[in-house]
Amino acid sequence: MRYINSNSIAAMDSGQSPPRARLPGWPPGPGGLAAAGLALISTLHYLGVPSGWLRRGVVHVAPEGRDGFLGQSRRFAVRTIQRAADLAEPGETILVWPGIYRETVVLRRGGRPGRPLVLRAAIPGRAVISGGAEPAVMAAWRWRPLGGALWTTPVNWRVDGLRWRGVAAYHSRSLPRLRRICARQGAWPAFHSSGRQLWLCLPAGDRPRLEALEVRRPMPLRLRSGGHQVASLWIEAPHVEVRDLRFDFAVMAAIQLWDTHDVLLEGNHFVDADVAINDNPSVRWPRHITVRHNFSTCQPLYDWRRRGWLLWKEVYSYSNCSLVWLRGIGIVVERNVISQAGDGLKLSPEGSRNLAAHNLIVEATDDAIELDGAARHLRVRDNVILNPFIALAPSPVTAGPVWIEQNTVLQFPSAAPAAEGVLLKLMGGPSQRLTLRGNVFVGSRIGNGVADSPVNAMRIEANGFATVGAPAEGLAQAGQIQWRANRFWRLSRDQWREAEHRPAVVAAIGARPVALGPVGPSWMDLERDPAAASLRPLLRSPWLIR
Amino acid sequence: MVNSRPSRLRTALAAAVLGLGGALLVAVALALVLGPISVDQPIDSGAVLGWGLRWGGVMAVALGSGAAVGPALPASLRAAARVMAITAAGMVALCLGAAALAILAVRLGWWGQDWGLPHRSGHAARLAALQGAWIGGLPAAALAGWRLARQRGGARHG
Repeated sequence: MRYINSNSIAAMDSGQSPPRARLPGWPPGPGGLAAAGLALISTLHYLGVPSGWLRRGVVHVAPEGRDGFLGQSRRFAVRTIQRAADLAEPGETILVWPGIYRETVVLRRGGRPGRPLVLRAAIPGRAVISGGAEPAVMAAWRWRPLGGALWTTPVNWRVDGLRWRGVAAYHSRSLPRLRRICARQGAWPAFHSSGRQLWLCLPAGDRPRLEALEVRRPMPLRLRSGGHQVASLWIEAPHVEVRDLRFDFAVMAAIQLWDTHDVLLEGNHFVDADVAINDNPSVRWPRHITVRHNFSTCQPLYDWRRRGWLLWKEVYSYSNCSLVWLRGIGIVVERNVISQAGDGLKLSPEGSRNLAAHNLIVEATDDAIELDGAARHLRVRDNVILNPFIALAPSPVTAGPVWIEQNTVLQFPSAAPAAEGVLLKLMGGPSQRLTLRGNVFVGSRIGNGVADSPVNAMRIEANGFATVGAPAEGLAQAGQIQWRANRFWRLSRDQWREAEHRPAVVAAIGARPVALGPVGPSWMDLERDPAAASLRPLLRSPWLIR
Repeated sequence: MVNSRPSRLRTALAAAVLGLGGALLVAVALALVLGPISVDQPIDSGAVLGWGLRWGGVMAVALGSGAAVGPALPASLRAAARVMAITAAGMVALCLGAAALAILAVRLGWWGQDWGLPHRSGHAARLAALQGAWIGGLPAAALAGWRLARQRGGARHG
């Protein structure tokens, strides 16, 4: 009634139409219209109105792009992958053009069944998500020599990772220790950092040079130990594919599966990540995760030891250097190449069908394949494991069943100063429902097990073992295992050495060269790619048919 | 008092700047409060500030319009600052209240029991606070603009 005056009421009483009510300030002037327009725009911006209809299913990302664009073409590409991830809608592809992207990406919106959100490189392997700091930050560093191959400079943060000429330097936890290992014969680059100072050992007589140096970005403060809560790519949404990217120098994990399912990670190259693909911890167990045709290489843990510079105990706890550390349901890990690992694969799936197959794992400083926790319904088959410290660590497996079948594990004395590696480690607690069937092992000895880790329902059958040690040597649980139809061959040291170059030496246990099949990213030529240089002598082994 | 068009524009712009600045301050406060409790996943300060910027845009329009659009006399800057301060305090209280309720829900076993995280309460508080901020942003801006407009007195002369 406020805007209806007495004349209007009189008009209604007389049956006439009332004059139109007039709101104060109506119609709005130019200021009001401008305010209404701005309000509409700011509200739409706040709500993040879908922009997919402006694109043809692709969000382009390029280093020369701008985050104000919508990514509908390379010309109008956005600059950061995060901006593209915020814009992309189910079924769209985030196409990342070549360049180095120094960012942490969170995929908060995924796809739908049949319409995954795809994050992939426009040219495989040439889009790099890097954990490295901008080189400009190192330009201000003022190095001074301390003598004995040591250099020091003031820094602004505690440096956690450093590379010299593209190779990871060893991170010493204390300055006295850095001095000790720097003085050793055959030392590699190493460093130590406090919050304000960085010390660098360059044993080859080099001087610190900006162009040869890379450092990781500052790591967010870890308030509680044990997790890997720093990652280059967080996946917090379902139905996601990540393809053909290079994850370089990740601050900790490269990909964190935080709250997701139905994920495909294919054709990616991981360099120097503590764990390349991690779910530990995660909000919920990841489900239906496929990890295939990836290539993972890590800090040169194995080489540091092989060259006699560091002891095994000095590198054992240094880094996980794993391709995957996954629990979850419906996990498939196949046809990946893992080089210079700590633990190559760490798996403890919680149910459904799970598979680790046709992977090539070379030079693991600890366990090539580690299974622990529940590890329900897991099949580990047709993997080729070369020169592991320990090939299989299925302990403690509290649930099972786990089938370990048709794998080839080769460990030769040339691999390390003391070839103490074994096929099977049974330590850390009781295990049950494990079956090893049809595997071939050439190496030092079968097992390393202690009495306080008993096994239940464990069967070892139809395998071929060519070992220097006696079958049950070092395996305290040997009496609890059901052995059946295995072939054993005691090797002399000379035969062991010879077997590296002549598989026929151990043909009596059923060993023969293995057809490797396609492994690693399809875009990566393992015979030519510099990233695979350390692998090539092994790939030319007479044990492998390529 | 002379209410020329330039003075109205100046008032609108000043109120908008207050709105944007206040929103960014709220975002910084949220990032600082949520940082220490985000144990399992580092707080993405860039994302929180991004929200602050977007909310700042809405607040800028709301306060600018509320302060200067319409026939009434433009609001004083003091009034705009007071409304912004109340809105910011309300937003922080909303987020902290949501976080507290979330922690209570986790402690009572009503929420997050299936999460595989070592620090579920922190994650719940973070989720609730950020959701609270996002959901509360538009109503808070609308309320702030309306409140500032209501406080303006008199009609324009000439």
